[in-house]
Amino acid sequence: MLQLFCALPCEAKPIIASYGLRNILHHPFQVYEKGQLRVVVTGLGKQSMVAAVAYVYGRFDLPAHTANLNVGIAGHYDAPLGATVLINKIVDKAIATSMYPVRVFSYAGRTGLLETRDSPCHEYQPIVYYDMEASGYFLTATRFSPAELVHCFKVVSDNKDHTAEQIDKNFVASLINDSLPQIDELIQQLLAVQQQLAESEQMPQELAVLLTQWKFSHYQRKQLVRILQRWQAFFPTSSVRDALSDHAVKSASEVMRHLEQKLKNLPGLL
Amino acid sequence: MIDSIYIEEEIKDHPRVINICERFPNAERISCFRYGEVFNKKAQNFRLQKQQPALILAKKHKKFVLPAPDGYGIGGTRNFYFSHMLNCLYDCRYCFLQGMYRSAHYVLFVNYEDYVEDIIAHCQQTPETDSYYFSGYDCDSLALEPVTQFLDFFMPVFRKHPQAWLELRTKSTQIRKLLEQPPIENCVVAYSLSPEPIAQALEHKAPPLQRRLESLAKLQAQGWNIGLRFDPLIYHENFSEVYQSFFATVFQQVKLDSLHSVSLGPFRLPEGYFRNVVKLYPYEKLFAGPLQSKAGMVAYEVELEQALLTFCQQQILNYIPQENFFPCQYDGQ
Repeated sequence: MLQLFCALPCEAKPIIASYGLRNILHHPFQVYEKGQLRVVVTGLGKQSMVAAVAYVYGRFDLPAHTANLNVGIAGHYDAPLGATVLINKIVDKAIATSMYPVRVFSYAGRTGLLETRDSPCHEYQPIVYYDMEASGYFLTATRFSPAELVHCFKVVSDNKDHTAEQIDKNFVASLINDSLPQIDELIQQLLAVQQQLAESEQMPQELAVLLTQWKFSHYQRKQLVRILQRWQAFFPTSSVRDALSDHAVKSASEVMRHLEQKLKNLPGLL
Repeated sequence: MIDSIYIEEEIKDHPRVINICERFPNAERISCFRYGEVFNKKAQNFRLQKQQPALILAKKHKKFVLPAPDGYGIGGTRNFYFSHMLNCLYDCRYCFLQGMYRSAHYVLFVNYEDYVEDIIAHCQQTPETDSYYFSGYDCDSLALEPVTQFLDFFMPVFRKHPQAWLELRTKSTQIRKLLEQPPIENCVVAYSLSPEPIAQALEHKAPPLQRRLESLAKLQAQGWNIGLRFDPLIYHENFSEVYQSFFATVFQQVKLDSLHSVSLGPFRLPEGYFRNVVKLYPYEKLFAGPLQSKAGMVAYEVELEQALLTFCQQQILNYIPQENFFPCQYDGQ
């Protein structure tokens, strides 16, 4: 699953239309989804973004290998309107914190530094992009997922010659619409990264079945996961249940004891 | 090779930083205050980052030279290590770095002069006694030499201080700089070696065994002292046949008269690091094998470890005298 977080409905609209997403939730946040893609409209400002990110992780019980992309508009001193940037550093002076999304894929586009502010920017410093949500998004999302799966993509909507007061929702929607190819490229890249992480976090194959057949305590469950991982490493095509069928196994403890015994004389690395 | 370079603000104008950035003109440059705010963050995945590590250029502020762990040495009584760099180009699955560090980014501390000052100060504490300085603890000493130019700076220092011994621990074939200069007596180029099937299974991105042996032979021909580091020993089926054949291959190609030292060590990881690597590689056979936890270390079961060490020691001592042999000891053994 890849989640896109947009502060404004007009930022989300072109993405929703392009991917044919369906509205699945109205309150407390508008959420749209189809297949592996979900768009969350968070509302303006850091606090709204923090609330939305935390909410969806809890609401949908998301695993750590969930990919995230904040898509939205940003201001810049002199970058042309419609210029796009993948953020490599987020600064929030209000909380004296710098944050670093980690890119583990190739990206040919522009990258840059973003400062998150508490109110719209009217004074632009050269080099820096400005928004009002990214720091809240990044700090919250990285409580749940690694920084390699938390990224931020911005489209320049205002600069010293065309200030924030001149922005309207149709203009924003058109900026995002024109950036859909880059957004799609990022989505594909992030899904590929997420897939790699998902494979390494995959639970062992027969865990669910064993958990329904015997009652394991919380601690035993953790031990069982490790036993099954070891089993799968050495016997990837051999069923644990078949191995247990020789024994009259009556309890979770006996399951673990028998499997540990079978793992005692492993053939070795090669 | 390097797509992103993080640079501490304090050293952005350092000549080494400028030089390194010129090598990677297309890499994005990201400033940071201290490397730790990138390198030490919790929410990172070492395994993912290993595919595309960034380079972090930083300044080290303290603890340039540290005492080497007990049981770690090649003949000296004063043993130290220093890490001009954190993390390694290679991706050996048994390596403790993947369990110790949250990030796989390469951190290069550019203030080499401060390291040298501390090395000389340590030497001056006991001018009558040789001191040994191990440089390949947190990285491969030579693998990134074209970027770090570590040898260019440090070799003249050790050339000037014959009572300071330098060990370069490596799997690399980046030996050009060594071949371009006369050898020094107080430097040991120590190759980490494993049998080819183990190297293929576990030593990802590292040069194959035969290429390391060829580099080793070139260095020996030039007159450099060579060390052989059979560490870690990895248990597997047909262990004895594979290692017997491996030692025969190695000692056939090594000139014993310029062989400084041979060390031997079993696979071992501190418990906390082991837990981390299992989270990264839960289905890795190496971590699923006959291991036990004892006194804070995860290693092969005692009898198995003893059998491995005894066998390998016997094999090695068929080729070299005892005084050149330094088995590694570790806590919990």
